[in-house]
Formats: sequence, structure tokens, C-alpha cells
Amino acid sequence: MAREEPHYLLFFASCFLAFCLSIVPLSGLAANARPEFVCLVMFYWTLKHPQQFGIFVSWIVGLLWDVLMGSTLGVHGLALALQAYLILSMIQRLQMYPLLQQSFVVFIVVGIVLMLYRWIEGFLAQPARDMAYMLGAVSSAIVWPFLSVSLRRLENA
Amino acid sequence: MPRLLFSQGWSREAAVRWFFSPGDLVIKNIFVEGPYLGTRMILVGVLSALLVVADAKFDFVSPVRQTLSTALAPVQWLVSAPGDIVEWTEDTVKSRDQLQAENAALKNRLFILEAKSQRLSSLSAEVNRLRELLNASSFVDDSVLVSEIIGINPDPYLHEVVVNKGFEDGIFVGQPVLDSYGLVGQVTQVAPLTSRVLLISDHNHAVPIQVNRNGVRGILVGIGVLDQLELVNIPDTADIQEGDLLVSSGLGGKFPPGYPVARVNSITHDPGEPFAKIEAEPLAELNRSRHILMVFRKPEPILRASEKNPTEQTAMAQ
Repeated sequence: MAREEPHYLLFFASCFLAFCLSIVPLSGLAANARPEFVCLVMFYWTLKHPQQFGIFVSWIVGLLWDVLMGSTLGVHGLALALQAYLILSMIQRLQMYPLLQQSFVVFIVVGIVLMLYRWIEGFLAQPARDMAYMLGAVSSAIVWPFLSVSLRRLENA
Repeated sequence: MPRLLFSQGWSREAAVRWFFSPGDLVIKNIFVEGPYLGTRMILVGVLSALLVVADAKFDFVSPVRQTLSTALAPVQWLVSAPGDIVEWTEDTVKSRDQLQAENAALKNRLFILEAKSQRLSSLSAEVNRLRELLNASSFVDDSVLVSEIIGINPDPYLHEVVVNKGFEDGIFVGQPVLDSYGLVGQVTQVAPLTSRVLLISDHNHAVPIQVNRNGVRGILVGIGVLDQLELVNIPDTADIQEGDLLVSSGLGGKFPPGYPVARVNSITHDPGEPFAKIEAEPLAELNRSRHILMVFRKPEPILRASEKNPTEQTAMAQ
């Protein structure tokens, strides 16, 4: 049986680490293929504890992410809130899925998040030149099983 | 819509759940958030839209941003820490020979630069006298503040860096930024301890320049590629050649005049196009410099007083 109360310290620690990983400088293809760690971490917490980490918490985390990235305030917030909404609207099925199938959903949801972000940024600044940013969704899907399993182990430890 | 979904799918979902329960699921999760899900999403969407408009078009939210970015400063420090540690270790464990060689090289360079600057001071005095004759304002030396790049915007479509000086050091939005080779960009966001610099190679950046050889003016825009800039709207007949040095013209009031920006490396004249296609390579080491210079012109910073004395002394000694 899982613990009813989420491990809040682990939540803050994982968010902090995800923020760090999301601004580590990378170049070339690696910069495009960087897994969206903040999305993945919030995916885990919403999936595991939907009562505590819903749309509003995701939105707040997204606002902090905006400040960290220097993007227009609210863009990442909206994208992460949409992610939480998508997860919550299919949570019963999602919790039942095996990891590999969850990975596929991660690919689609993170892809939608990235597209929404690029679309708004395209309005505000300049549109993306190519679709290379979608590599981030692929790499996120690849990282998801490892991240999910390790976070669950840490939480149950 | 969510309510419908729950009421219809409950029994089957629950049955499946009981059959295949992996053991760490809680039954009450079925009623997560319930019918308010869509309402919450719409509320958050509207709030975000308001924030985006307020941030992009007005200046309401910059205090919020500054407070939050101070709170998030540890993240930035942690990420730049490995680089700092490597640099510190390199400095600390250098051998005596290496240090002596480096010291000698730096001394040589200092001699050369001092010799050059001797001529510069007499030349700038002459320029000032001539400008007085023309009744123009005299040419003032800008003062600079050295700062260090501690972060790079992870978005590959944006050319922006984070530096370790903020408005507590007197940094302001729109401040021009140099490195030791040329113009780097300008400050776009200021927090108490850090600030963000938009590079001249970014899509959204343009610098008014003139050709150093003959004073032909133009506007140099970034195209989102680090080692290439484009000179736009230049007629085919303009006198610009490959290898020409482009310096900032000072028009527009953003950048001080006379700083080197780029060197022309290709010119294409296409009879079908109304303008020549001119590409230039930025002189500043946009992706290599770790230390950059923030230029102060309007407000005199505290640093100015301490810097003024040595220059005056050297001027008197000459």
C-alpha cells in the first residue's frame, strides 16, 4: 500500500533538481533533445498524488520555471497546467498502464506541452524554425521509466 | 464532461482496478478533482493569459519576477558551480613555471596596450578639441564593470546569457555589453543579483552600425545563428566590401558609437533582389567569452571615482 501522504520534502528536492537540470548549458543537438525534467517530475507527482498536486500546483511550478528561463511569465505555467489537466482527465487509465505504455502517453503529453509553449512564444517573439524541439518529447519518453521507478523507490524508502 | 466520464466508466474501471491492482493505488483516486477539473483549467488559462499580456505589454509584473528570481538564484549558482570549481582548481594548482610564463605574457601584452593607449589619450584629447571647435559635446570615455557569465538560456532558439551582476551593481535595462573584441549585446532583464543579456546574434536583436572605412550606415540584425549577422536593406550600389569593419554608429541612442561589432565576410548581388545580401561575422566571442564588460554611460557608477584617479595620474605622468 502506498503512503497516503505525499513525501513533500522529496517533491521540493525533485523540483529543485529538475530546475537545475533544465538550465544546465548544452549545445547543438543536445540542447534540442534535452528531456523536459520539470514536466516529467510534475507528471510523476500528479500521477501519484492527484489530490495534492493538481492544476494549481503545476501552474505555480510553471511560473517559477518561467522566471528561471526568463520567458514571459505565464507561458510555462499554462503549459504545465495543461499537462496536469490532461493527466487528471485520464488518470484512472494512466495509473493502470504499464511503464512502457505510460512512456507513450508521456511522449504525447510532453509533445503537446512543448507545442503549446512554442506556439505562444511564436506569437510573442519568433516562431521556431523547425520541429527539432520535438526531440525533447522523445527523450522525455525514454527517461520516464527510469525517473518514475527511482522516484517511487525514494518515496517508499 | 468529466462527470459523465466518471459516472459511466466507474464500474468497469473499478473492476479492472480490483483485478489488476498493482498494490500501490488508492481507491479514492477515482474521485480526483471531480467535476471542477475543466473549471479549474479555464480559470488557470485565463490567469495565465492575463499574466502573459501583463508581462509582455506592460511593466506590472517585474517586481514579482525580481522577487522570484532572487529565490531561484541558488539554482543558478548550483548549475554554474562545477565550472567555477574547475576554474578555481586550475588557478590553484598551476605550477610555478606556468604562472611565470603567464605572468611574462601578460606583462608583454600590458606594455603593448599601454603604448597604444599613450597615443590614444593624445588622440582623444585632439578629438575633443576639434569637437569643441564644432560646438559638439565632447567625447567621453565610457566606464565599464567586469561581470561573469553564469548561465545560458537553455532554449536553443534564444541567444541569451545570464550574468552575475544585477541592479544592486547599477545594471539597467538596455545597457550595452562588450567583451574584449567587440559588442556582445544588451541587457533585457535585471534582477537584484543577476541580469539577462540578449546577444546580437538573436533573432530579435538589431544594431545600428556604420562602416568604419567610409561611414556608410546600416542596420545589422541577428538571424539566430551565433557566428553570422545580416546587414539589411543596403542598396546594391553602396560602397561596402568584404573585410570591412562595422562599428556601432550610436544612432538610436542604445549603443555608444565607435565600438567594433562585426566584419563583413560575404556580399551577394542578385539582380532579382532589391537589396544586396550582406553577411558579417561578429567580432565578439559570443559563445566563448566567460567575462564580459557592462558599459556605463548615463548614470555615473561608484566604480567611476576609483577608476578616474589612475587614468588622471597616467595622463599627468605623460
